[in-house]
Order: sequence, then structure tokens, then C-alpha cells
Amino acid sequence: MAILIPTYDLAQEIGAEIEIDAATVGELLSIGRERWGKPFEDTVRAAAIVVNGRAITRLKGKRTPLGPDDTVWLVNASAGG
Amino acid sequence: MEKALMAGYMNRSLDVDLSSGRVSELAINDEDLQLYLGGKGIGTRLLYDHTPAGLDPYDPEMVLIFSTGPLTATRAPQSNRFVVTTKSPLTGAVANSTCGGSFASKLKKAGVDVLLIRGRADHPVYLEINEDDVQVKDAGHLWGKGAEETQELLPKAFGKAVIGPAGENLVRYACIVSEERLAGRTGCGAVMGSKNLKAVIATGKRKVEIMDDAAFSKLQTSINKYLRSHPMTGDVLPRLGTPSLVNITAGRNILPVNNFQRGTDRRAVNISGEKLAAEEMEKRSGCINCPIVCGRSVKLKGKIVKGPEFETLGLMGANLGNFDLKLVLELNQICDDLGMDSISTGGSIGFATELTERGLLPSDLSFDRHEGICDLVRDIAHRRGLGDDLAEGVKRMSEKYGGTEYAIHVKGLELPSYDPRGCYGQGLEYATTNRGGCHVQGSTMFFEATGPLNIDPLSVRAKPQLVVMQQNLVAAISSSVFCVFATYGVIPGFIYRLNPQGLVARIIAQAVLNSGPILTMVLKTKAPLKILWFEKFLSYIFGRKVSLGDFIETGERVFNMERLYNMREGFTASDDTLPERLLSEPTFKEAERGVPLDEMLPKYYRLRGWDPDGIPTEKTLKRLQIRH
Ligand code: SF4
Repeated sequence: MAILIPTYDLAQEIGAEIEIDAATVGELLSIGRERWGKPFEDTVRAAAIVVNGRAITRLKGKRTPLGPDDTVWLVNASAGG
Repeated sequence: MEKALMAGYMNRSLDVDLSSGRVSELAINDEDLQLYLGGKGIGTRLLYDHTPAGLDPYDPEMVLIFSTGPLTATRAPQSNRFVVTTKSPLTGAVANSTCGGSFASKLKKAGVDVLLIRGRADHPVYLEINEDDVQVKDAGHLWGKGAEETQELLPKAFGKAVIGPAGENLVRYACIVSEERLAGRTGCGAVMGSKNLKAVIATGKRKVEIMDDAAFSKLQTSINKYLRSHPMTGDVLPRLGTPSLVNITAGRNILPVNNFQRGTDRRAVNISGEKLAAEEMEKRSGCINCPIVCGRSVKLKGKIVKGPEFETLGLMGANLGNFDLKLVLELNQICDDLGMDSISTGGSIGFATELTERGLLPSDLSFDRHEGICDLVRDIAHRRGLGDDLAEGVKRMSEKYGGTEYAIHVKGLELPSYDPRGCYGQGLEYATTNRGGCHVQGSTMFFEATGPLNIDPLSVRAKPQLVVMQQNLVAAISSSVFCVFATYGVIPGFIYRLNPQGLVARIIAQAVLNSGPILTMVLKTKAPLKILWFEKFLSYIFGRKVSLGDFIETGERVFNMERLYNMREGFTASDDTLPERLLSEPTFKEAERGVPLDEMLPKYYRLRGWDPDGIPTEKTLKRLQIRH
């Protein structure tokens, strides 16, 4: 079980904070695709997937394990000051 | 013999002494203009030359310098900016801040490259410049008024730079306001207030000479088009502005929450840029001649006002445990009108709240309740009650009440809204930036966490090189003067379109991380080519070749000049540090401590050509042609 925090746009369709019963990021993505289809698919293609603040590319990618205290954010790139 | 006029400049600068009311020409030699360009560069050079060591920022002899650059008042995108330079009453270090709006362009069209103000008027005044007509006028009717009303009461046709009550009352982080833009950081507004100077206004019709006007226009058209089509400068910034960073920093665990006690909070979505755009935004607003238009106006109590930038959402929002968007909008508006830097304001209140919760400061502040906070902000500007302590900033408060280990500042300047424990390069940048804890002198976090690449934020590899490169580039940009947001367009658009989890993005991020030795070589090479638009615009305006190498070297010179000024004022390598909390308390599971600054600083000094004590060597100063 982990908490998914989607991008704002996706949150309008699927909710702002969702509990997902998944043991890995890969599983979470499969569940997301199944449940929400294209909007979810499009978002994860453009957004960084971040677990507890760390990009999964710096962890174990889709094999990154998820536990009950873990938060998965989908974040876009931005800039500013 | 008549002095030859330099294209790109008005070839006239003013020295105004408010004590005597005397206005004279300020002599700046051409060589200094060539070496330091304008803006921040020439401002720092003049600050060094026109003040003795150890001068108090509020001494009447302190100078307050408004400088334009060679590109100001031209059609180059993002170039209508001025820089204010002085000694910071908050930090004691060099103070500089850049600002958009139309003042810069109007000051230059009035025929002024640099305006140096010294002395102190014996009553409130404002300075009016209409080309050759320069007058010091009575500002009794403006004193005590907010920035907005002050600007409304001044003549319409003029560009304006004004202070609010915070500047008048010497709040150490008071800013200078121009239209709805701010020269926000380091307390330049308080120095202006100490001179009894409420406003500077300027207008004129003079034109900037551009040597190769046809090439300049062609480049302007193509860069405007490029910026408009770029995913960052043509989409994210115009659509969401800087507030888009709230969700990103919260996701990346670098959003300061409760005085940097942690780096994230799920409630951040309630103050996000996306929510702001969807629910509160009325229209976009921007500086003149900028295709990006990154500002946003919101409706507040039936009035259209400027919306908050990301920094305000971070520091007056999450850092105070405040996730009420409407309250942040209100605090932002109050700060702007009082003429007060919202970063330092939020940092100071956050620190005072933690002091309160630890029983070190008697107050009602709490991270859970925020009633009365608007009044507290007003109290700061008027130095009433607890507001008087808060007006001194975090460093001085920690000296009075304790809590130095969680007093979040560098060199006395409160940190912006990126917790460096999740972006080590940004930590190095904070520690070494001459004006103190600031994010817009390099924005290394963009490469590590908030931008399209993810150059491992928890690695120190290649970070010293990246920080030096970025600091030099930004110093050159701020001397030209361009908006620092121009740097985001430098990263090619295709990189933003990559799947962040995809192979190409990962290869690029890893390649940069492994590129330390190559970046070191690049830093030592003076590229003879014109690659970016900055040096191309300068080449066309001056009618001589300015290479990318020349441009970056100017930035390096300016950065070292600032360092020399700080050293003269008593700063040493021991000031190149971070608050204890950020050095020792990790915010990531896999980190054993906070920012490993000690692993980056020696390398950074070597790359800069400084000795192990952080002092620029004579060889470096000679190479950069810096007189001292
Ligand atoms: S990007 Fe924003 S701050 Fe910079 S010049 Fe344009 S409107 Fe002004």
C-alpha cells in the first residue's frame, strides 16, 4: 500500500491522493493504467515518478519496492524563482 | 579631446548627493564598462570604488546604485531590467537585486546608464529625472504610503522605483518596488529609506544606439519565436508561472515546511500553481518586451492584484505550515504593498514560530494556527511589538533568542524555497553566493531537481563545476541586463519533451554527472564562438565580436569583484557555509547527514582559482583584469 499523488491535471480526473495496494512502482503503474487508462498513461510518460522525493531512475526503476509509508509523486519539470 | 561615445550606452551617469542636493556627472571609464558591462557588474565595481571599507549601510555616505545595462531599452527580449546595488543592512555583504517593469527602460531613455545616490536628505524626498532636468522634490505627501498608492500619486508618464513603509522604517529586508515588480532581496529598500528617499522616477525619449541594427532585429525576431515555442519559456512559465514549482518541490522533498523541519507535505497541492491558475488567476502580466509574461494577477477582496511567485507560496505558505491559498495571496499582497521581501519575511516568521514552539520566544505563533498573521506582517513593516524583532531578520533574532542551528540563513540572508538537502549543488550555491542564501545566482536546483534532467541531487559529482558555470553565466546575464529566467531557454526544448524515465533522459543525466573533468576543461577554455543569444545581442549592439567565452569571463570577473568586496567587509571562508540543520539533519532515508558541503567546497575554490581559504589568488585577479 502506498499513496499516489498525481499531477494537478490528472488529479482533477482521478483524485488528489489515492491509496494503491502495490508492492512495487511497476505494479502501481499497471494498476493505474488499468484503472484510469489513457490520461494516466499520458501523464506518466511526461512526468517524473518520484518515491519519497527520489526519482525512480535513481532507485530501482519500476522494481522500486513500495511500503505503507511510501508516497509516490508524479511531477512535471518547471523552473523559476 | 571629445570622448568617443560607446554604442549601447547613453554615455552619461549621474551622481546625486541628497545631503547637499547636488547633481553631477558620474565618471565611469570606458574600460570599466567593457570589463563589467553594466547592471550588477558595474554596480559592484562602483560600490567598491565609491565607499571606504567598513562603512555602515545606513551611513549617509553609503551609495545606492541603480544601473541599467547595454541591452536595456532595446527590443531584446527579457532585457528591460535594472539592478540596485549597495551594502546590505541585512548581511553586511554586497547587496544587489534586479527588477523588471518599465523603470529601467525609462531611466535609460532619460539618458542615464547609472544613477549613483549618496547622502541623506533632511526630509522625505523623491528624485525626478526627465532627461537633463533632474530635481530632488519634496515627498512629504508620499511618506507613510504603500507602494501602490505611492506609484499612483506620482506622475503617470514616469517609470518608478519606490519604497513602502518597510523601507521607511528600515526593515532590514525592505525592497524596492517598480510597478508590480520588486528588487526584492538583501534590503536595498532600507538603504533607500535611510536616505529619506521615497522614490526615483524617470522618463525620456532618447534612443540607444545599436551598431548593427538589422542583425539585432533579425535576432530579436528569431529569439522571440524560439522562446515562445520552447516548452519552458513558451508553455510552463506563461501558463503556470513560477508557482508550478510548489508541487514539484513537494514531490522532490525540497519544499521547506515549518522552518525547514521537513521537505514535503501532501497539503502542498492546496497552494500549488495549478490550483492558483485554475481557481484564482485573472490574467497574466509581464515585463515590457518579454514574450514569456510569467506573472499572474489574481482577484483579492474584489481587486485585481499581483499573484504570488513560488517563493512566496513556499516561505509564507508551507514554511509557516500555512496551506490556505487565499491567505498566501493576502500575505503576498500585504508584503508587496509594504515593500518587504516575502522570502525573508516568511523565513523570519518561520524561525520565530519554531523559537516559540521550543519555548525560547514568548509569542502566540504556531505552525498550526495563522490568525493574526496579516497583522503581524504589518507590525514588521512598522516595527511594532514582536514585529520589531522580526524586522531584524533571522540571523539577528538568533543572536538574541538562540536557535542558531535552525536559523535558516546564509551570510544573514534567509534561504529561499528549496531545501538543499535534496539538491546538494544548490547547497553549494547558497553557501558561496556573494549576496548570501539566494537561488537566482545560478539555480543549480534546476539541473538537480526541478528541471527536466535529474542530475542526481544527492551526489556531489560535477556539482562544483555546475555551480561555477551557472554563477558565472548568471552574473554575466545580470550585468547585460537580461532576466535570469532567460537561462531556462538555454536548455534545448527537446530535453523537456523526453520521458524522464526513458533511456535518453537517463543517459544525458548520467553523462552530466560523469562529466566533471570535461566541465573543468570547459571552465578553463574561453570559447571563441558566439553560441547563445546573449553574446550575439551584445556583439550587434557594440559592433564588435563578443564571444561566449568573453561573456562568461565577464560573469566570472563580476563574481570575483563581489567576492573582493565581501572580503574587504570582513567576510571569510567561514561564511561559506549553511545552517547547522541543513548540514547535519538528513531529510532522505539514504542520506546520513544533510548537505556534504565539505566534500564540494575545496574543489569549488580550486575551480575558481582561489586559495584554500577562499581568497582569489593574484594570478586569478590579474587574468580577470580586476583592480583592487
Ligand atoms: S520572464 Fe517574467 S520576470 Fe523575466 S522578463 Fe519576462 S515577465 Fe519579466
